[in-house]
Amino acid sequence: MEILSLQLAINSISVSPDAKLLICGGREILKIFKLENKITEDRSLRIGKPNLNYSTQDLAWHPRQSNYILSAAKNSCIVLWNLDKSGPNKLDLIFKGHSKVVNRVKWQHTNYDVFVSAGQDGMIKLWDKRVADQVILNLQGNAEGARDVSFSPFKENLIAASFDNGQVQIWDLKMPNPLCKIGAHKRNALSIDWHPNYADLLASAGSDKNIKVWNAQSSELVCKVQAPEPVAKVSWVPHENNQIASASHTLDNNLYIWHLNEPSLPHFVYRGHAHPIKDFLWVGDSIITCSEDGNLIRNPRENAYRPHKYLAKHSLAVSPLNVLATYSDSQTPSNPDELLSQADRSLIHHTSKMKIYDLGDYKTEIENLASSYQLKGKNVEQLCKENAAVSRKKAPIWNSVEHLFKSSYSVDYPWINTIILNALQETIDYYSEIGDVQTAACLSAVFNYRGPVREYGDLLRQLNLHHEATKLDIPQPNVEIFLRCKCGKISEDQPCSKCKDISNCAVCNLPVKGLYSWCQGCCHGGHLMHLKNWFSRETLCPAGCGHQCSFENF
Amino acid sequence: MDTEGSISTIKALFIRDPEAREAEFKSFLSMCQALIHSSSDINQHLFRTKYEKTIIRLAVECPLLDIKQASDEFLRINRIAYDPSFVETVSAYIPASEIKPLSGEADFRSDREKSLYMTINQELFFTLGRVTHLDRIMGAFPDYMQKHCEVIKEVLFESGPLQFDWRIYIAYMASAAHKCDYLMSTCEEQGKLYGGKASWFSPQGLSEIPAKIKELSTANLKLAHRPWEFDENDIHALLGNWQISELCHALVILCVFHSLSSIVLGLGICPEYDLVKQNRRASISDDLEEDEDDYDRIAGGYLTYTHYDISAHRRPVRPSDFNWNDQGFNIIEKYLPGIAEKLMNRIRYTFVMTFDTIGGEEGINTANLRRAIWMYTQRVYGLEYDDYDYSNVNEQIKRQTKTYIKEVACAPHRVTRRHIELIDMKLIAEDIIHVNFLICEARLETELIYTTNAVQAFI
Repeated sequence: MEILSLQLAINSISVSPDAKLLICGGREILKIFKLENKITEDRSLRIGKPNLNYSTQDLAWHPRQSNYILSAAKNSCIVLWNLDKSGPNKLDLIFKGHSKVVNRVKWQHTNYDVFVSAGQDGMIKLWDKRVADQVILNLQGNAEGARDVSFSPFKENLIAASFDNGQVQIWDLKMPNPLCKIGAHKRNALSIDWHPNYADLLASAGSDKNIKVWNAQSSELVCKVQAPEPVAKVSWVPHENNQIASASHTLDNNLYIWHLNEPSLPHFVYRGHAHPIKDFLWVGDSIITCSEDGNLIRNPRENAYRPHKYLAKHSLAVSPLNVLATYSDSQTPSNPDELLSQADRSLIHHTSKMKIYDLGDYKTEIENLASSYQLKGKNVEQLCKENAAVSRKKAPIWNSVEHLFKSSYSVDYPWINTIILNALQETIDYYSEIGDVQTAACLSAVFNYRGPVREYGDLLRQLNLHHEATKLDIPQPNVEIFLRCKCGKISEDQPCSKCKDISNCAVCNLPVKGLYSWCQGCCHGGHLMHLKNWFSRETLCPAGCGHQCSFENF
Repeated sequence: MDTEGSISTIKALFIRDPEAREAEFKSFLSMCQALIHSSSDINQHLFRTKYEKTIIRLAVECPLLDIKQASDEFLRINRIAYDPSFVETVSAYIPASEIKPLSGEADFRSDREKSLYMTINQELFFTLGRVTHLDRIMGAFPDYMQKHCEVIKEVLFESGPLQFDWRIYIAYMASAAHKCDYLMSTCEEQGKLYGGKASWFSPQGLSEIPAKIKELSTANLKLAHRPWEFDENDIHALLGNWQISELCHALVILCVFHSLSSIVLGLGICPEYDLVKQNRRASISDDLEEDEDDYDRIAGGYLTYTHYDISAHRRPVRPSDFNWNDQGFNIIEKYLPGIAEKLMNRIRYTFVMTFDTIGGEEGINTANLRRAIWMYTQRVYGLEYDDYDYSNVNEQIKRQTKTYIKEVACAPHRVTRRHIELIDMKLIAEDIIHVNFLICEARLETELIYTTNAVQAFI
């Protein structure tokens, strides 16, 4: 990697047709360098007093005639430099015509005298390099700023241009109106590049962080890549058919190379600049980049950070619906061991590297047990016996727990009693730990120990087993008097202005205006006085859901 | 004690349902009635100081007819006299005939604009309990008004890194930097309405302001008066206690309210009838010096505009290289996406807004004049574009107009009616409002450019 520090911000670079010379231009610098083993300075084109005509936004070296260079100046002029001119000042002609800064200039590759320019005033202008005063052709883009323009490498009269309103327009120079206008990007379309080998492919990039490849004939989107930050310059990588390079103008100082087959992660990342990269090009086996930080960096192509090297080779994920996906990068076929051969039965999908397994629907299991478990009403041993019978193979714990409990009675030493009872609590905690909420909660309900009963209730409700959920004995905090609607908005008037809900009293069935109290367990409620009266006699919920709304402390 | 009308207690103003609102307002008026007829002096005083002015204001400046009529009726019954034209004086420099009325027939360029105007007024009333004089002035350009309201809503009321009461206080500080009483009083009311501490807005309450907010003083003053001096060192100092996203939010609020002060003072917007504070000067008083100190203490210090000296800067900000559209916008968008979008909409719209009229004549392309005003305002703050020929400025804008523009942009509290009278260009009232919008927006863009340029090193 070779870094040449020029101390002054560089906006654009361009290489001579024989690839031996490089010109760098910026606001205060316009120099030509020799590209040998090391990059050395050849000469500076800025002679005499500083002049805004010399400050460059874009450079274009003539593709055939190596003495001509175009620079688009920041003051809206275009300057033609002729290196063969006699005398120290190589400035040949100044082309004035744009009313705002010129963003891009490009030479035509078949007609040696013609070049095109795109300006922030929204105009695309075609010029003849021999004639300074007049424009050959004006293309009115009808948008605020034209950012980039490019001749098609295959069709002589075809031009593509990108604009600040996000459009990419394709023009045939012989016709007065654009052939098509592609709404390519959400905000500015900052850069375009024709594919060097396929006649109709065009890449475009913009402020919305997207790089898109279009078929210019049909205006269809071929593919899309999302870059990390807004992309200011995009270019097809030479000698590769499906690689694109992109650089950003803010917040990101790297150059990314994307493979269109795997657009989610860049293949190569060239680092090293302290400010965003303004321009880049390839010379032979190296890539040269320039930036606002004043540095010119020449990197061999392979000298890049490859994100794929640092990705995990194998990974595993489980979805909330109990589906397992595994990914393995290894090429050798793995030998299935015991576990995997069991798993293969549940394999529902696979590609060469990824496998997807269905781990079974846990819902039916939980449902069956939830409806058949008995949690109260009889003595503990009886409950354990019944639950053991119901669960059979699934939760043999019931049998063990029953014996444990029985044995706690038949021992005379109280300290053994304590150990056994602690063991029970530990069992419940163990099931909580491993995530078997159902067993833990049912155990704790039967033995009246601390356990995840509330969470079990939530789980049942998630599975729409509300009936089972209400059977649980979840201690509710006091029925609170809410001055809020159920949706949470503090409001004293009905209907609630946020959720427009009018609730009916569960006792008298009329709409409740004013104080509405409701049970958090089963969500039924009503007039405060009615509920108070009801619960002075009854314990179950007046709505008939079977929930035991606890009404103590009232 | 709370001497101004506290509209938060008048719940009726915020109820959208007409029947419920009518009932609620009626009960409010009967409470006032009881206060008036009560024998106790305290009650009478309470009515006079807290509610009387608000009812008068509602009788004159309310877009909802039911409230307006009920208030009017109440005042008539109780024989409370008032001068409607005084209450409704929106601007000292723009004649009342040019201000669009709140209800009744209003003259617009199209029906779409008219219905937009009505809708926005209603929304404003339901959110803030009033249609401010500033909004009335903006009614001349309903599309601009809409974009402006979106910016204010997004910056002050939508979800974001900063808590609401801090945001309004920062807006208050920003308005104090230009001694803009009007904005300070509306911020104060909104602050109290949305749960801020009333003590923060009283002169004695300065000690209660959290130290973290006070750290913004340098930023406030520099951005208001000398934005070119605001650089990475200031940001670095602030990042000690502030997180970058909160800081961006705070700085955006400062920028928006600085430029809003330019409009308010440049157009001579008069205080809201029920918000004039007894202890603040409503008219010229001898305590000029004391009041100046007050503003300075709230804003956090003292600084004024000086002429931009380019030789004094090592690395000036060049808008051709670093501008709002390309770089600034992306930087703000990273942390405040909603705000960035609304700001972009408003700035872009203001730049292109035109109805092709000037001085009462139609069909004139005002693009050059508008661009000249924009470029000149930004140049005054040190931003020079490479691709603009600045001799155009002198061609398009004559000397006295230039003076007006510069005063509005840099020292808006010094703008007087005389400045407007002296403008040497044929401009009708609507044009003057348009010019002010251009200056304000150009200024906002300038401050945003300097802010984002300083922040970009820390992203």
